[in-house]
Amino acid sequence: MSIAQLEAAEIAFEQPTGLWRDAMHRFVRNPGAMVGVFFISAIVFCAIFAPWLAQHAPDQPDYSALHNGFPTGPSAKHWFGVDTNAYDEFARIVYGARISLLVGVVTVAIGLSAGLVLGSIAGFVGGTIDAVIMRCMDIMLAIPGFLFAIGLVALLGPGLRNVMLAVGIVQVPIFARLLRGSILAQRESDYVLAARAVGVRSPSILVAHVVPNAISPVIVQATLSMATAIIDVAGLGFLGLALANPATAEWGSMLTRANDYLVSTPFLAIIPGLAILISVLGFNLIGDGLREALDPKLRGRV
Amino acid sequence: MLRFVVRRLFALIPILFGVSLLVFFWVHNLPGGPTDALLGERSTPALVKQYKEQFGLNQPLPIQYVKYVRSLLEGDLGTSIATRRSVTTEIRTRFPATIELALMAMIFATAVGIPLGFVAAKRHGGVSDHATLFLSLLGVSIPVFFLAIILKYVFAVRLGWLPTVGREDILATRQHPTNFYFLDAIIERDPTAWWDSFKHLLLPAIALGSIPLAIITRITRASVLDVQNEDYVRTARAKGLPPREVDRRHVLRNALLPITTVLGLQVGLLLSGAVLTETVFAYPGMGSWLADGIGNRDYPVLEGGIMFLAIVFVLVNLIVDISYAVINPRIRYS
Amino acid sequence: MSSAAGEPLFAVDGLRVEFWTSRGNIYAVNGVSYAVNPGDTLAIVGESGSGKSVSALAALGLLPRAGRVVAGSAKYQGRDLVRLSDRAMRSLRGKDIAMIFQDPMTSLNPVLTIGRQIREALQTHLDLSKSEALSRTADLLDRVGIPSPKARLKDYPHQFSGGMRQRAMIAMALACEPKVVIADEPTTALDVTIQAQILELLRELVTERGTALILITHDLGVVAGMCERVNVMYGGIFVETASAKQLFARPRHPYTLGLLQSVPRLDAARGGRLHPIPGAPRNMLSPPSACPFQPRCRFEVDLSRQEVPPLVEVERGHAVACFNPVPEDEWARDRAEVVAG
Repeated sequence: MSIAQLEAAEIAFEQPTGLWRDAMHRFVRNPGAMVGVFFISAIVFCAIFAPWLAQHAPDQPDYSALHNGFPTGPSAKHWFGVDTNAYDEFARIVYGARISLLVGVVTVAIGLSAGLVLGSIAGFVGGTIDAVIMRCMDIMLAIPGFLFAIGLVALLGPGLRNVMLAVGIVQVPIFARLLRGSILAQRESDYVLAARAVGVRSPSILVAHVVPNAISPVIVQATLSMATAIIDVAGLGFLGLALANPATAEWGSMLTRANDYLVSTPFLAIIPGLAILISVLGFNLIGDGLREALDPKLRGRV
Repeated sequence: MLRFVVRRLFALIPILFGVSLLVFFWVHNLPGGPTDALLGERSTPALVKQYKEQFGLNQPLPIQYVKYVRSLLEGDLGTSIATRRSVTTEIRTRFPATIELALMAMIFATAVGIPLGFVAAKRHGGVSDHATLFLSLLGVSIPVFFLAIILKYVFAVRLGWLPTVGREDILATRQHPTNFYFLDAIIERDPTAWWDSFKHLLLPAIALGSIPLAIITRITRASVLDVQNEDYVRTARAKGLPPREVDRRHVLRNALLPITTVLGLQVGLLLSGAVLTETVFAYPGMGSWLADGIGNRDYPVLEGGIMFLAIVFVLVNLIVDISYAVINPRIRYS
Repeated sequence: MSSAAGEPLFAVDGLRVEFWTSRGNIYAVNGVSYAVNPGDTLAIVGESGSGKSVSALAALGLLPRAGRVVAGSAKYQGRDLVRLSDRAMRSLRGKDIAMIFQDPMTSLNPVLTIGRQIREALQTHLDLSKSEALSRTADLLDRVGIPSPKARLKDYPHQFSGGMRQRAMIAMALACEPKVVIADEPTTALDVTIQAQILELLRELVTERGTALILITHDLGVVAGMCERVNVMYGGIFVETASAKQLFARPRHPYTLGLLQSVPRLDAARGGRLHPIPGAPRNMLSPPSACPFQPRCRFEVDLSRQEVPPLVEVERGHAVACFNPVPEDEWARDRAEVVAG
């Protein structure tokens, strides 16, 4: 047996599999991640089938359900009861899923796209532009995210659109830093150097090597950012800053009067919070699961 | 070492100027303007003009900015529109309240988080390890205000063990020389006051500390797991040291270093959380004060309060940086 | 505690160590036996993955969580260390048997002073006051050749150079005057010029005190001049055991021959080829059922593929585990050829 044959045999033994297939394999076996998927599926289900799930509209008051003008708890007609404005709580929870998902997706989209552009420019071009961009990002990161969002919403005025914009802007430096770091790391890494030394041309290096490696942390961060976005928006809603129109069913805003509900109908104070918890937990579980699944250090091992 | 500190202090100045500019710009662009808040429905163009002249709001922005900075340096932060008291006076009661809360929260987070993380690392792969991981994930997933609501509901409303709102018993008429209620109780040698203060702090502190707790637990666990496999731990064992000493002197001392790096981050989280927690518990600290300020369009409060907080934040980060250099000999001697 | 008459000071017998991993069991050490007496110097030579470090770590109970001793014994003064409780082991570790590790940068705690780390060993095993321990530590640092020892007690590991750090490690190991010192690749992480110094220091100290030395290394060059006896390890077993003289003059195992041949010689004729050993180290996922070196061996015979060869004596004090050992004069001839060209 020649050396070359020996070594080829040994490499074959290593059973190469694609990065994605490997990762999927690991992800599916992660119980936490699967729980997260279940949670998020439930939320998505509610969002899509809201009109069929809810028996009442979320913004049509039913004053007959009020008890002496007070909100009431679960009953046969209103599964989750009604709130101070006589809206059906169950409907609001179910329709609220739409808002939360929308919020998550839009804010991450804003943060990701702007962050991608800024981070890529900084990473590829380098030099003064890099320094300037990163300095701006650092300043943004120095301010706690939620507070920054409050400030932006105060500036822009209440309303879901502004809230999504504000929270999205807060996400930008996170993604920008991530992308830039990823690109820098890949640029200097040994295997890119080796590829260039062998004569592979830059664009192919980019596509075949840099991108797959750089993309994994972004996917993980995007999922985790969804969780953060939902929590932040809920917080803004709780403070009363999120809605221009109080009829909109946003989970955080539904808790603004929670202090009032606590004594009379605690159920109303708890249910929206649970909904937020489940969504955030779901995204966090998925994000963690993805991180473990895509960790290159674990790649190649079963 | 001294050079390090001085250099850092000098770097602060441009940052603070930058922040003051940002705050100024922000406040002056808030919708509604100060006149709306003050005059409300009575507002007429004539009154608006009069008000603006009175408060110097007609002058060009740069001049207003300079006046703003000058008054900042003199310590004059303006007068709250809502309460008619000077902002400085308000801060004098509000700030210590939040500090007490934040400190309690951090003590809670570290006192529970570090041992929890340590034990989880030692029992890696076991039930307690997984339970700890899950709990810490829960900790970052549960919105602070929701946790606050639940705690309030269970312990205050239902069980009645703890008070629901405020900093001290409504009926109490106590002197508060330092405005740190804890400290005051000790100074006045009043155990009931101390207990009262403690009872009011407990639930908000737990709610506020939940996120730092989760983070500290996770980091401690990861750190201990890493350090346990380091060569120098093997050397320590090879020297025949008892496991307790190995853990204390070799594992923990190194494992705890990364935690200090996130302390700066924690302060930011505490501030954000404070706004929400204080609102739930009607706790009279900076957080609820600022939240009210935004709602009331109380511009002096926002200008002065946020600037103050920014300075505090920057200083705290500086202190954290310095203390990290102190504990880590590798940085100290470079 | 005195050993029974005729009992070696430290004796490993038939040791087998396995690691449990998610990929399956790794059979790291498959039946290894050696013994040292006071003043002996033994070298265990092998590649990475041969199991040489593992056998020492196993004897001292320092295996990582995934490792276990599945057979054999490691007896110190007649007591089997493998079966000892951790508590009893602790009183021996550092005091009777000490270990020097490979990389002094990672093997020293970065947040404790050097003085503290050496003092620890002293204060744990010997009942010394702090001042006594301090002065002893300064003496130790002095003896290993660190200048201004008293001042350097308060320094941290990163303030020392690589060679100084290893000297400090040696001081730490010898602090309690152990009877056996195991040095695991003590010079691998150091510059070549420093390597000789450290080895020289080690040799001096060991001779001074009559300590038994087990030197683990992959570098045959380190062995000559340091150790009286050499055991060559491959694939978890000893393939050749001999005195240093015998090994360097008349290697009988194909692997040993290969090791000696793969070192380029300064007096080789120009144009001669290098002789690497073909192939790569064995994957240890299956228990040994044949000669571990067989896949890379050009002298293999049928039996090599069927059974694990036992160690067989070929001259006094020289044993080989091979079904087709290399002829006695093979190495001598090869050397002559290389020089002649």
